[in-house]
Amino acid sequence: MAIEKLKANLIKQMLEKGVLDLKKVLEVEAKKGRIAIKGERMLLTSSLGFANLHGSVEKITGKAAPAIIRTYGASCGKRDFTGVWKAWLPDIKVETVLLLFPAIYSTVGWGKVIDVSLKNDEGRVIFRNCFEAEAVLKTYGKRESPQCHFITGYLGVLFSEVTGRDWQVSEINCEAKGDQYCEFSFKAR
Amino acid sequence: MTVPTRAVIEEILGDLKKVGGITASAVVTRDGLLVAADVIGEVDAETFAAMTATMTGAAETAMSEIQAGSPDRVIVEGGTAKIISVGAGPKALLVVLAISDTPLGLVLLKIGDATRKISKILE
Amino acid sequence: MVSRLSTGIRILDDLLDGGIEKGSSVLLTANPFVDATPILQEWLYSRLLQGDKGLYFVNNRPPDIIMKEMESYGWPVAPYRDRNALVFIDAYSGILELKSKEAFFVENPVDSQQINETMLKAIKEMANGDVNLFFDSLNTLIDQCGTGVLDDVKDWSKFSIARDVTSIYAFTEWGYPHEITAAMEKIFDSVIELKALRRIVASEALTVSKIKRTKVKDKRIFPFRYIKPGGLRLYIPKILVTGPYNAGKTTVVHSLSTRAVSVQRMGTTVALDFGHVDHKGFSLDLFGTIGQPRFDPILDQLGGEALGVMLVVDSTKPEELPRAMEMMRKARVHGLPYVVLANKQDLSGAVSSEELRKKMHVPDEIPIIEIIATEKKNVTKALDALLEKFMGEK
Repeated sequence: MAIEKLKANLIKQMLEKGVLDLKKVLEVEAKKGRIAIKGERMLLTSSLGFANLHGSVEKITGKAAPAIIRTYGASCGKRDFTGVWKAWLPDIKVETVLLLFPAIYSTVGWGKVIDVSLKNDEGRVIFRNCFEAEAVLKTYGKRESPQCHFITGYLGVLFSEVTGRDWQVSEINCEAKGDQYCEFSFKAR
Repeated sequence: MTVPTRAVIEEILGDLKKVGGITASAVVTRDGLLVAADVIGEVDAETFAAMTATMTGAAETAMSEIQAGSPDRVIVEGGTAKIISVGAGPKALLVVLAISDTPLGLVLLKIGDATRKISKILE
Repeated sequence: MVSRLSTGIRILDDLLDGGIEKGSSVLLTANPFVDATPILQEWLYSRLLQGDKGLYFVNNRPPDIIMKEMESYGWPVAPYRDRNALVFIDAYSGILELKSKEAFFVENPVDSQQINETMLKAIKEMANGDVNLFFDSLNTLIDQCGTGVLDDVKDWSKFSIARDVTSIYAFTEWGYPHEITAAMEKIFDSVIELKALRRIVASEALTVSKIKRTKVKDKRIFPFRYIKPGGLRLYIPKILVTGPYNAGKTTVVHSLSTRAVSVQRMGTTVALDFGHVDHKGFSLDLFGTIGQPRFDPILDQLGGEALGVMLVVDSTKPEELPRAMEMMRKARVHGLPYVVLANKQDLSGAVSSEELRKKMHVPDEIPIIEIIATEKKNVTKALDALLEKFMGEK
């Protein structure tokens, strides 16, 4: 019951602060040619750009492309942890992060988070309409293996920083491969 | 990957280290993940896996661009060390570190033996 | 390049493209009516002769019995055992709660963990020089330890690759469920199958169905039997040598056989000609039929068990050709591989094989070989032609 109350309060706060309502937080400074959310500069670009990232890296490094995209995702995850999560919730708790995770990442357009859980030595995150999978699927068609390398790298570092434990993430289902959703599996190292 | 697979591959890597000149070795997936390693302390094996996979992947695309087929091995020669990367099946690579002036004849032979076994084990 | 190790059994080496790759895992699977162990043991002996070491895991009889079996086939392995070139993993004595004097001993053979530990220990300790592991038997292991044990077998095969140990597992197909056979598919690089042929009384046959993880298309099947001493011999139970009266059948049988018996009276065969020949790894029985018309019913009987036919005709007597074709029909061997021997080519008036082909309406794919049985000329060539037909058609 206590958790339910906490949850309700948090959601109320989020609603009041406008985190869930993009229209309220998006700041457009037309004269400066600048867009921001709560002061943080944002860029609007087609999500298909991620397919370009995949394609360019693959063109140069072939089969090793996932390694580079994962590394990129990991560094973004690290930056978001310090710059966004920790900045917003200085007293960061795993349960809080897990509660807010679906709302936040859905809001910024990653996709619909169906499930996020982290228990003992295992965990998982499930997305539908995942942006990375969709970008690859639309640009290159169905692939044979999971494609969300950016998200894989990102989630690994984000949750490792949040929990203080080392998590190994791998994508076991992917919409770019024809599956119903993108599923990321977490194993504690 | 199950524990015995890693244990068996670590054994093979351990044998490789007995070859004169070889200082460390690792098996990595071609997309940059570490499978097993026998490296000395300072090296971050996971990052090294991503780097050597990229090095090899880029070498392959470069060879392909000049229509020269695919590389048999990638060798980086430097002041104090050599890095040798050889395919171990369609999904993996064996990466070996050797002392700079090591003659490669015997080393490549042993690497060939090792990649053949590793490739079978990972099938 | 990887070395291919000979099995010591010629037909297996042929079917396996020269032998087995060092470090592979081979499944020797047998129908319940066929014994796989003589092949395992002949293979072991051949590797010992080559200077390799042998590691023999047994869970269904004492190691000493295995020694006796091998001696009975004419493979003296005691000296190898004495100098530890042949080492046993005894997973049998423990069942009877007896102590073992073998180098590796599993105290409780139904405890899969003990078996696993002992196997890994043996593989690691034996690995100086080339080791061949013979496992007798896999189905007993599954029966005693449960299907989970196949995960251990998979691990053993990985350690074997790393240590250049070549393994051969004997398995009897007692109708195991699909999950087991499917799991086994994934573990073994090559599969040799031993079947029981129903058409021929008491005959086993072998085939290779998988080499280096690839299924073999157009599997060739070879009947065989075990002889003591000696081991595996390919076997074509009966070759029927038939043809009109006085065509030279008896002479053909005698010229081919290492030993032959004929019952003759007044210069003609009154019972059967019987001969035996060992040729190119095959162990063959030859049956020469009688040429006179009143023995035709015997032909019907014999024909049902023949695996190949040599039809001998007198090249100087074309008028007997209809009789020859009639005998073929009578022996009910149509559908069996056969060759035509155009005998008495040394005599004047002998018709050529092309002529005979036209006159007898012999199909193009049936070989006609011109022979002189009295001089043993081309008789072996005719036998080779029949064997080739036999191997091709099976």
